[in-house]
Amino acid sequence: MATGGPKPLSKAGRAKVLKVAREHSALGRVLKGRARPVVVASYPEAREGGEGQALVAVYDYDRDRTFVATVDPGRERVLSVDEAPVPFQLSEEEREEAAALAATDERVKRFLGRRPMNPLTRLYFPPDGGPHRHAVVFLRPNRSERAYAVVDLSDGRVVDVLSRERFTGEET
Amino acid sequence: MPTIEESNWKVEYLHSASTSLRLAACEYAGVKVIHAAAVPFVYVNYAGNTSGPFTDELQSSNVHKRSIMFGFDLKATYDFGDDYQYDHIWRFHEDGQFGSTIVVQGPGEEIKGRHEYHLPFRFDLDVSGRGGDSFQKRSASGRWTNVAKESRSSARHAPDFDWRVLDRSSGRRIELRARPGDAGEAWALRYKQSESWASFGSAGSGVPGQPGSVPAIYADRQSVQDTNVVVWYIAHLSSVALPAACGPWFKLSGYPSVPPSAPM
Repeated sequence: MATGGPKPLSKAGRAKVLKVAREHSALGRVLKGRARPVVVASYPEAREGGEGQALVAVYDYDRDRTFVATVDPGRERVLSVDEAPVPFQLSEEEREEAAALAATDERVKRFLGRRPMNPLTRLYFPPDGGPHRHAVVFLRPNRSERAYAVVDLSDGRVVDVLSRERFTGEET
Repeated sequence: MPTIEESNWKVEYLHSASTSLRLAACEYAGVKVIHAAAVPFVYVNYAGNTSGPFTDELQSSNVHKRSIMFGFDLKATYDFGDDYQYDHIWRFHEDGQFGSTIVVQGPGEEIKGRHEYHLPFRFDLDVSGRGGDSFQKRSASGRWTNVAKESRSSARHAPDFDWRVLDRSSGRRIELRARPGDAGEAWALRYKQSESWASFGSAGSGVPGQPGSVPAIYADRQSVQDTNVVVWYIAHLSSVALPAACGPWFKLSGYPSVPPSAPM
């Protein structure tokens, strides 16, 4: 086994790529608003623009849209910025935010009592959810009991707490 | 990033605590086969779709490489505790066969068989090395026919191979077939930058393969002849029979022949 080829971004590499992205005029404006990077990663999938690229995906909560920038870290240049047709998965920061919002909800508190949340958080598409970005936080206080907090990340609030029967469609 | 050179393959791969096990450039006998490949997410929905679907992002900081008879494989486990688990295996055989398999362990949030898993696999194949690849499917009569434009088709011929990507100038071909039980479908697309972002888990609200979701949103009837062809394979699994495995299988034709390994 040998080493070579593209590498996952290091912490310093990620910081450098984000710095380049923030200095881009259009992307920088978006990032100064209510927006955050949801993907910062090596981009070996690129077939245009040369090797060693990184990809930055930014979610804009004010207008519910995702921008994607390709970045050449070596030349410290943004190669392209486009709007993505569909959203990306939740970032770790978003998952933590969703769980923190869920923890403040009275329905969640009643379900959990003094038990740990042990959250598992996913990108979610509720019926009639519109264009907002949603997360569903699985509340897992033990091995069998479950409830599911639906969090609207665009509005920063918990919009529903579902029982297992409602979430899985067993409740008719 | 690790590169494995074994069993006539050179395989570059990436993974991290925030991404799935993805492949970068892969060569067989020194000739390019794959530019990039990934399983971007798993889409889960429930009977009646009353509460809406969610997607599982596949993340793993732990990948195991294993030598096996006829080759080697890479395995990542995406472990979500008591609720469910996926195992992801990329396997490479010394004769040029390869495949990607996801094992859906379940049990999932319910155990009455009322939910489904939809798994998109993205393969940016590279037969010609110059953007000169073409996509064909096997017709009802068994003959290979050109697919002119970006489109989807269903599997029907297993254990024969249903689809292939070829470079007419060199005669090299990569054939693929669906796994029985996958309700598998293949989409042939021309490479687009926006489509390649899907490797990082961009997902629509609809079931993969349906209009308005991936990869359909990237298909706009462009030619899939003499170009960079990206093949999406989508498996649709019911939770009625878990654990279950899904994923396509590939074989190479027209690549340099390599003597089989000497018996030990």
